[in-house]
Amino acid sequence: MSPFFKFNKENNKNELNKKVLFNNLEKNARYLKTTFCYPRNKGLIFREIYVKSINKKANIFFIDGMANDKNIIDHIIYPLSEDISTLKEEAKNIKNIIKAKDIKELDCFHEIIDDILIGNTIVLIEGHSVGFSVDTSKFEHRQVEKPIRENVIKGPQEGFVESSQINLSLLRKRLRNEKLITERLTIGERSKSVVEIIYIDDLANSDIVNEVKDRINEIQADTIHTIDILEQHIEERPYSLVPTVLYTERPDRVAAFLMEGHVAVLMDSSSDCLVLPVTFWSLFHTGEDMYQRWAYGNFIRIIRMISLFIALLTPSIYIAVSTFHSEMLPTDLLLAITATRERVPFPVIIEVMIMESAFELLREAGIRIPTPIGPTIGIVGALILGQAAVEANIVSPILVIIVALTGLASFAIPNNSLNFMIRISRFMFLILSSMLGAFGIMAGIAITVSYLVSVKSFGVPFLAPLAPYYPSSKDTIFRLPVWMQWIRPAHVKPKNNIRKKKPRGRSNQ
Amino acid sequence: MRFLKMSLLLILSLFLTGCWDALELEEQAYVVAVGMDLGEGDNYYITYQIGNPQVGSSDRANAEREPASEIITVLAPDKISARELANVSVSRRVTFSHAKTFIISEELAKSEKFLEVFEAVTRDPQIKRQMDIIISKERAEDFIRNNNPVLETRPHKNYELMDERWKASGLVPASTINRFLQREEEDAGGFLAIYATIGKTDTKANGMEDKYKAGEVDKTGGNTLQMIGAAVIKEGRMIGTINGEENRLTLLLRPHTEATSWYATYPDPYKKEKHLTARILRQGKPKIKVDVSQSKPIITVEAPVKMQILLMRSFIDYVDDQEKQKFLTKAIEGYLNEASMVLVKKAQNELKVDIFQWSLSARKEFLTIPEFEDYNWIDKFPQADVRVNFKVQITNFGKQLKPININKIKE
Repeated sequence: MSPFFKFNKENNKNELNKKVLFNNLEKNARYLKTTFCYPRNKGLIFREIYVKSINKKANIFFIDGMANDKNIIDHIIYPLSEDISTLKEEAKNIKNIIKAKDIKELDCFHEIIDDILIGNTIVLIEGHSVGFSVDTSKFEHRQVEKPIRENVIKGPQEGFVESSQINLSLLRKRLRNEKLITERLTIGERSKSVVEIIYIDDLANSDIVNEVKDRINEIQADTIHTIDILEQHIEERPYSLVPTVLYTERPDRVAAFLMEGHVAVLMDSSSDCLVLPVTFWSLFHTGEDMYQRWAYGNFIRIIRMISLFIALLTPSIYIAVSTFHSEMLPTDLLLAITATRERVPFPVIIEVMIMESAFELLREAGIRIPTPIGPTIGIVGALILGQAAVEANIVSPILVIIVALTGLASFAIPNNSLNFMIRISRFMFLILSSMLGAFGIMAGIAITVSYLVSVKSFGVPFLAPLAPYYPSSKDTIFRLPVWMQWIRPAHVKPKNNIRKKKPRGRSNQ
Repeated sequence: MRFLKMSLLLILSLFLTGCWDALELEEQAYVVAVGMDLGEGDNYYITYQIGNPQVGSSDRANAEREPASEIITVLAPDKISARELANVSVSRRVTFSHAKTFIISEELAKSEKFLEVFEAVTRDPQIKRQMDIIISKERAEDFIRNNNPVLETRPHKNYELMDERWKASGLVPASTINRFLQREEEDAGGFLAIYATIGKTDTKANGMEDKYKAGEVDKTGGNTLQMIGAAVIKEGRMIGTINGEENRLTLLLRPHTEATSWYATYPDPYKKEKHLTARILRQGKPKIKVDVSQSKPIITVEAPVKMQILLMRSFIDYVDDQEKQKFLTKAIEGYLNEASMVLVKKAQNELKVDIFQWSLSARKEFLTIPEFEDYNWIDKFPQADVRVNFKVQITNFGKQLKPININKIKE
């Protein structure tokens, strides 16, 4: 059977160009120019200069927009064209003349091409079979701003931005530790991207670090633009609703995770960081739980736990109670619901489905809508639509309360992935309860819990340290006061389990 | 692919299994009260009071002239089969899951058919055992039709609230189907059911505040319902009634009760014609000792009671005088003891049944249940030697300590 569409594989050849540089400047320059389609490609900047001090010609290559022009002029072109005959003979080599923070000697074309593509400037000298790669890269990115998704009232207000250099500095500023390691990997075959794996060497388990590196190295992709795509390449169960990687934009959270022995992954041009392995609790917690005082932090956790269950179960409990277990309702409420439902033309399940879909629609529309008209959609959707639906007898008023409550509760779930997981499973519970009532909900909960127990993220059980049990600082549904959290969670298998000495009460207190 | 097909089949089977007893709320008619009267032959007249959901809800505007409930009476062999028969006029499925009250006419309660009624009750899963039993002096149908509460628009609320209220005041016993079945199956004592009627019958001029039975209270205005006192049921039949005061005393002497405080009046020991009003608080469980070693059981009951004296018509200053207080305590104890002994004698001689649940205390004296059953408490009780001893503790005298100086005002 011949394929309907013929794949054009011609250009897809993996040209691993191991070609070494020639001893001839002209030839080298011509090779680079052909590779970058110069002069058709205006992106490549090519400049010839004459190096006075060694009386040789030199060529400079860099890409417009990726390199810092001022640095190139001040640190490369100017020093090279200067007369430095006063300098001692042995100091007269190119590496000493060029004033840059980092300079490498490269002798393969593919290395040179890669370096040009990350914004470095290549200096080729007549009679040299090596190229000098000078770090001049400079990309445009926004300034450090407040996090958008993970807001806190108390705590730092910095978020990652689309520059790994800045992101790393945000992290290092919080973790001044000599064992904080940044490893670089390159991924993508056609467009190269740099991935940084960050961990604390004497805390993070080497098996987990290697597993992360292996998974990243195994990726076969043309290109990976952002860390969000990378997340989907390395996560555990791609078809599952359960997320197995934490995706955060807060450097303070990442720093806290690193100190527990987790591994973080940063990527160039992505304003987020992946943390792995994760458990349910990492997704459920926010930074603020720890920043607020003990009682307040626990209070907001209780609220979030309740809202998680409200978001997951309220509509299905309403269906179960109103179609199967009407004796569970207080008589007053029962009669009130019955009265308003008398003229509603649909069964409860259809009614709930209409409203739930309408709410999800509203939510999606609210995100996609251009910002200036954003507030309008809230008013139109929530007030007018809900009110009109009730007045037109399409839904009963109690349902509006239930859907609104469910929607509100779902906004309290902090993590984006967990949020989706809850919102989608809500519909599954809806179907189960409309068929089997409370029995269906219970069966659904049993299935969900047993599934969650089976999920692992990089070898760590999803519900650890609760089930299975591991020694930890008991930072799960509730948390202990900060000074009592003296051990690192054992399920991440850190190399060092003890954070500090076990606290002992002082006799005079 | 195979996995997909299999899971599709599994999901389909889920759709086939479910939904079989799903019923939308508006497709059901909620019976709030059930009434039963003796009918012709083997049949009963069964009355259903079905709540109208629209009345009293936000949807009231759409049903302005509708009554709060629909009352239908059918002649049917039992409560369950009558449910379908009611559908000759009711378009919704009749549901008992929210029925609060079960009203039985005195006539039916006194006949031998009374127990048969409960046979149906125990088997139908829809009927809750928390339903209250009310014995009505007249026909249950008339009771339901003429009970017109003014404050509560919806009938179920009326039954719910009055149940709570009367339970707290101690004027009627707590009589649910569950308790009834427990008492009857024990076969050792009597059961007290709420006794009620619509309208006044023979009013008593001086019943104090609680020496009334249903229908005897001189009351005008409002709903004509009167619910006070209890019907005594022994071995599946109603054998007599007791009044409100007797019911209160029973509650004080029982090993477990829900009512814990109420207002009552007692004669003032210094001026017999004047009375005191007190709030009485049951303090812990009474100590009940039953000696079954002799042929006649010997029952000693020690009932601790706290009192707040709230009104003294005699204007005697009890607050400042410890001696007077002691005398008052003794007097009230004497009054309570005397009244309870009269009640015990009534139970022993007239009713011939243990309405105090003392059989529960007696049962502890036996090693096995068959031994207790052999002892035959129901026959032994009328011969029992009963000693009742109240322990009254006066805790306070209300907000103001000194009585009003009556002489100064009169001058």
